[in-house]
Amino acid sequence: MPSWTTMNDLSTGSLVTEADMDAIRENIEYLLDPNKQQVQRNNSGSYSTTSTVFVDVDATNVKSTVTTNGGPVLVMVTLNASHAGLVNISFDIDVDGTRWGASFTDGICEVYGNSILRVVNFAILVTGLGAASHTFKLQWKTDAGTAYLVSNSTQVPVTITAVEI
Amino acid sequence: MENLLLSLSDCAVSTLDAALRAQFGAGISGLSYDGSAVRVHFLGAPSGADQTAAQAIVDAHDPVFFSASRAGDTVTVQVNKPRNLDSASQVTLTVNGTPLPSPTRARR
Repeated sequence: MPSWTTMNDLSTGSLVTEADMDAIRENIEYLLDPNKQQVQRNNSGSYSTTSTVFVDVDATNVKSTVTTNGGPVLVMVTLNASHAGLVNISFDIDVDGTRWGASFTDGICEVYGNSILRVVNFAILVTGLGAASHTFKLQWKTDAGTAYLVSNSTQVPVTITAVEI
Repeated sequence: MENLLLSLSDCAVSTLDAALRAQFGAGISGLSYDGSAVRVHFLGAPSGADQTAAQAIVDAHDPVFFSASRAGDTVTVQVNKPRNLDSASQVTLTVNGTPLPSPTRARR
């Protein structure tokens, strides 16, 4: 896998070396294939929650971890959720232990239950991350009752993808 | 928030949620279930007694029983007696230890 290489800060009169050109080539290759992780979770059955505050869907299996070089990270989620009640199911992304949409009571997005299987797709651009390993976990909550998240091989997985861009 | 992870092979989520809320009230935000384990979401650190109580509730949980919130649900049980078997014993159906009204004899 390509890696990002910190380049020399060249100035007028500097000698461009083979190492400099290698760094340029490696960085272009990295931009074409940056660090990323996509998780398609088959839980062999639905996840469910009655939590009225945000909790991890599955702290072990529904998360994406990426080692970055200081760039922003695009986090994308695809899932199918349902609720028999006339209430909302809310979703958010936990970034290294902090909920990204913490300024909003219902997180990044929410869907209305009403006994319909809802397709949910959302993406966030996470900025301000230092060069290090970062973990992005899917979180959810329900206003009341029980919310469900489909995750089995005969239907669909829960997918979370994080990529440094 | 602290999560208490307890193994459970089958779960009627709403029923178990009601039982846990009856015990802990606003001390929990609810539960999550992934098909093999329950996470009880305590809003604060659960005491040892809380953990013991939660474990007892989960151990006692039987997903077959209907919850009070689903009192409208019904189950039909049909008992057939062979036509030519006059010596068949009377069948008494009990639910949770309570006999139901006397069974109707099958017509010959």
